[in-house]
Amino acid sequence: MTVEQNHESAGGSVSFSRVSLRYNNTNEDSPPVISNLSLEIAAGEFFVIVGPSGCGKSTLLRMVAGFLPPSGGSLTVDGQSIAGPGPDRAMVFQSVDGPLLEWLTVRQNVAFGLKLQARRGRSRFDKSQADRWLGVVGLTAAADKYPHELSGGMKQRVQIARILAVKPDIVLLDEPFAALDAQTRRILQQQVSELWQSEGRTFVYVTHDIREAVLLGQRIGVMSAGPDSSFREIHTLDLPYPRDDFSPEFGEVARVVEEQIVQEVMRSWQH
Amino acid sequence: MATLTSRHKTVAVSVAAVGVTVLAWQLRSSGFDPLLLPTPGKVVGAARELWEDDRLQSDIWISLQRVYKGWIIGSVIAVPVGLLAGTSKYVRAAVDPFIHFFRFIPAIALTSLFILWFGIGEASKVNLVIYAVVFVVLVSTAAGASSVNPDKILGARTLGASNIDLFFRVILPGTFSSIFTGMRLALANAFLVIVAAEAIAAQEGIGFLIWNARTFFRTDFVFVGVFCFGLLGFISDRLWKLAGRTLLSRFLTDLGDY
Repeated sequence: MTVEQNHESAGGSVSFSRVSLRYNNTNEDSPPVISNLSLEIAAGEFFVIVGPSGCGKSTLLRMVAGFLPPSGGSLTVDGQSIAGPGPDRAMVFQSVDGPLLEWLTVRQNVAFGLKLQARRGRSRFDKSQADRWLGVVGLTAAADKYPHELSGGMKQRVQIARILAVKPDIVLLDEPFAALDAQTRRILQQQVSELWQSEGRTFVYVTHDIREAVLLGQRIGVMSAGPDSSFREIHTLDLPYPRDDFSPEFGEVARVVEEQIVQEVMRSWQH
Repeated sequence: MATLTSRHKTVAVSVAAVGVTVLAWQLRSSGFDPLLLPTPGKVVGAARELWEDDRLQSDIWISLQRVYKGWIIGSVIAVPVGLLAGTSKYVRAAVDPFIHFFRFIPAIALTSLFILWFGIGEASKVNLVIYAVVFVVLVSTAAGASSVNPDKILGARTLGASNIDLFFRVILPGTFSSIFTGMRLALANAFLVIVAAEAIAAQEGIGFLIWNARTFFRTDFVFVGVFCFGLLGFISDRLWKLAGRTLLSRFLTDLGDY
């Protein structure tokens, strides 16, 4: 089976319209983490979210995943409001040890979501699908190992494989490689970029790593410091893939993004 | 090979420690009043005497049955309640007052009540063991269920897991190691309480053997009973650990090897 055959999803679009979020919904006086945020993410787009710590980057992702309902405004996916979590918006977590089920083998972890879907009656469980995705992320040889026998980079590849296996319209990635060493991170960034290009799904990616943001994103949204954060600026990158991080254009975008984040961090210190 | 020799070394240390203790016992007890401290040889003789009368075997068997019955029934009750208490705040709110009230009332304090309620037969003993087991397993299970990594739960949700899927495929297997440890601790409680249960209103069992020997000034029989409890507990614990290692090893990766 080739990767092209999987091109059935054009991805889902996400629309934030004047969205706000406060953690304490019962208390109107508690300051919102996110306030008056609007953003349109197109189907099939690679959108990267950067910003100072605590500005609510992960919170945005969790809202799209359906873990947190917005306190105000409207948030829709393909025009539909979000009822809760679901495999159309699957998420890759930063935590290397948290999300995987350590009592299941790598293959069983990848098959986990497929089996859930099969039982729902949406599709038939196809064992070869799990193996195919293991192959895509290069873990065929580790299929019968348990997560505790894997390196951090391998565990994150299992996470990616198990998410892509359920064919989400939107892939949410929350600093997936932040806990990995620099070399592994570099290789996996390249793999994610290739997977996005071959899969044609919407990728929404949160990171602290500016180089990573410029390497991957079609657009980069820089968030302002919280509370009341929203997007300070959204950069559209007109750079072809694969990107050359030694090119002057790459360096220029990275410089501007970095400068804006530093400004936001300094602004947050004055609060 | 290296691990084999280090295993041999640790076994040798354990055997030596036990040997030194028995030797010290031998030295202290020889020439001592056997009513207070019988020699190791006298205790072995007493054990043989009881064995040849077919008493020891049947007492061991009766006590083990009571312990295991109560331990298993208690765990079967505690695990589902613990899982629900650990995952649902309403179930927790409903059962918490009872758990944290009763778990501080020693089973021994309830011995006479249980005899009044359940009679002098097996039911009162087994129920007392159930009582001693249930809260230990319950608290351990609830704590385990409530501390399943939240990313595991969110991750499963994002893959399309329903509440039922979450409960049976994520929370239950994620709690196995806490259940295993809770049951291991509860096993010791079961042995503790069976002595009290058998001391009052029993005609058989190791606890009865100990209490009965007292009236005949057979301190050596008391020693035999005490050793039986220790050995049976030790063996039960090893078997439970072995069962965990062989049957549940996939679920116990976080437990270490103690």
